[in-house]
Amino acid sequence: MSAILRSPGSTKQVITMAIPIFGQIHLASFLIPASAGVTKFRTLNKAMRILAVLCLFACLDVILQVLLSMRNVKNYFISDYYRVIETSFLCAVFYYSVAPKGVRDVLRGLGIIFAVIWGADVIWFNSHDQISSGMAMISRAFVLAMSLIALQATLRDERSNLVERPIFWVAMGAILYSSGTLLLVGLSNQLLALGQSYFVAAWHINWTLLIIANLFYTKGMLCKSQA
Amino acid sequence: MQVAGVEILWAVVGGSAILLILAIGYVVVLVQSHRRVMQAQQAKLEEVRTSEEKFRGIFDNSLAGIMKFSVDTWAISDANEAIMDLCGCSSLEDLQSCMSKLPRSSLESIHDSVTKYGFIAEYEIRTTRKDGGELWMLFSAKKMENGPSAQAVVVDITKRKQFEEKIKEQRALLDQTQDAIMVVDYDGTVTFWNAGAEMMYGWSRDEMTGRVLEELLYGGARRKDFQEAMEDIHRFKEWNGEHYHTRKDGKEILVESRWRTVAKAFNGKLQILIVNSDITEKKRLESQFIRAQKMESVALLTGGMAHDLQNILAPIAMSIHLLEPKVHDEPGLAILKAVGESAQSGLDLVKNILTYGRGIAGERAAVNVIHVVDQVLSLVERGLPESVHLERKLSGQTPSVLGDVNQLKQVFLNLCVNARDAMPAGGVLTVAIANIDADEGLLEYNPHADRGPYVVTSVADTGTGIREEDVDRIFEPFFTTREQGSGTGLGLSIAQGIVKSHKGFITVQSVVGEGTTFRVYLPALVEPVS
Repeated sequence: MSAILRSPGSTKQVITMAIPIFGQIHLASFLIPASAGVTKFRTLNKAMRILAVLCLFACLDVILQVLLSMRNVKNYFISDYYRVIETSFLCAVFYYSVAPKGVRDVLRGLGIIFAVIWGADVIWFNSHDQISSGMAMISRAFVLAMSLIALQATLRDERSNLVERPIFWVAMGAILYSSGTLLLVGLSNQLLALGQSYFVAAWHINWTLLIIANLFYTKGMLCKSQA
Repeated sequence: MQVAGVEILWAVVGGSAILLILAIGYVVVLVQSHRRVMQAQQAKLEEVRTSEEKFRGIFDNSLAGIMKFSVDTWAISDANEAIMDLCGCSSLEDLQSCMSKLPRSSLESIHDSVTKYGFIAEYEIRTTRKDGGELWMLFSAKKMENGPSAQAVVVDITKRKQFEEKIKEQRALLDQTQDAIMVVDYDGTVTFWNAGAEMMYGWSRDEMTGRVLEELLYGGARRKDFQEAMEDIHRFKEWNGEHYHTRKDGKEILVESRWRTVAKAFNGKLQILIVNSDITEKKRLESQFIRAQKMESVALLTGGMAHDLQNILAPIAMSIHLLEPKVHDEPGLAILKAVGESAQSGLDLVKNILTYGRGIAGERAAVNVIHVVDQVLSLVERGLPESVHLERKLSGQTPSVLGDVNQLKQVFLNLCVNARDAMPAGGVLTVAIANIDADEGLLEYNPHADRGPYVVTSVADTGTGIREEDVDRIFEPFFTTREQGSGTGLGLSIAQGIVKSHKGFITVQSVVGEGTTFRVYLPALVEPVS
């Protein structure tokens, strides 16, 4: 199988390469949370419903990117728009999962700041001819910050067992993925400049962490306690 | 691969790994911290659970009934076995049904108190068990902090109430007796006072409970009697005797008193049970009876003596008439006359004594008392000084009496003369006639009299009155309050003798300085005479 490799970092050219088996597994892993979200949608709480929708968007994003790359069409803009959707939705997921008003206000503030930065990037800096690795890194940093804040707020709530709470798994997935890929997306241009083999080798980290994150999201949606 | 490329690749991988490890480490620290908190919370929960189990055990095993209910709806959400047994119920539904039968007033009282003050304590309720048996419960409840629920503790006091009822019945029985029954502590403090005591002394139970008996019933010098009785009770555990007690109205009564030590049921402390019978009246009747007997003895004695004197004086009086023709000188005739008058005077005295002693049978006929009194008053009126005013109240219809006119005249004349003499400074002599039916109260004082209608003739003066100590003696023969030689002391004795022979009786009522009233009661014949 060959496809255009979607990179969270910026690329100045279309790279057509064969996707390794692990990359294909990573693509397939998007279906797991999406299908869990669809099947369990009625039983999910508000935050998890938002996550389910995000997972569907992720599937759509992947499908579109693959289709466009197969037709040799540039697909960077999809990643740019998906990035704001992903960050905003995760912000909403965390916002509705935590109770303290102060934490909610901080999350909302981070969401707004990110939206402003993203808007500025889209209007003034991003030409859509290339993927903005800087914006990707900022997005990861915001998600990481929001995840840690949400997790800390969740840990303060001593009402129930942590592993039984959906937000714990979602936050954990987001933390692992964001922290593990923060540097990767920031240096993706440099890696591409070294050569495709270097990039693919490094990109296994991204695939691995995405698979883990998808599994964690799925676990979050399958938690019995949706209060 | 070039060396620089590999190094960059390893730098990216290493950097990502470090970031990942840092993130994971941070998460692990957070989770560990949370776990410790959770463990502490778990321990706390365990403690709460243990405590709950302990209290649940107390709840389930308590001998007192415990239940949780809604103050507003009385819906019972939890109840222990004890309350189920108490009400004879086997399920919460049964208990709910049982509680719904509580009197409305009780439900309202409980609701009001718990709502207003947050609790209700030891509220007694009478209701029925499921099987219909009587149930008295002591109900205490406290509102719980959260919500409208309250927790109630219910104790079965049926046996206690039944016992109290029995005590009440026994107390009611004690109240039935006319004797005064009281219980006092060894220091004389009254702890029980029955209805008989209330009637006898005029002090109510509330007034007497907690007061010292000695202070209220034993006035002045009488306290010594109380102290002597207490000394005896300390030594012999019982005392019987007679005491003078002071009533609430200040009147003194004589009581036959029986004291016994008794032990208090709950602590064995000694108390004194006192039963008092009012014997004031009994004593008075006894003394009246003794006096009557004494007078009867005197009458017999004087009657016998009078008879002998009559036998002595009669020949002397008759001899005077025989001697008169044989004596011709003036001094001799004068002596004979003096002897004759003395003998006649002696015979008159003897006749009076005989009248007192056995009464004079005379001839009994229907007599209109008004006519008799009217004739006597016509006679008396002439002898009254101007300072004495006579008032007659003789109008109306009066039944006849069976009697001797002359004897009755003597009675009324005697009384009128006494009344006149009692008013040396003047006053009003009132004579009145009335008809009455002798009641129990009147006959109690005159036990020889019969029931039925009586004609009452009252002779009242506004004179000096008779001293209390003399009142009891005025009917005794030869008793007089007049100066020596101015009266024989037989007038009232003879009057009483005559009235008694007519099956009647005389009463006297006198207040020193205000006057005296004599009432002559004569049994009336059935048909009235105008």
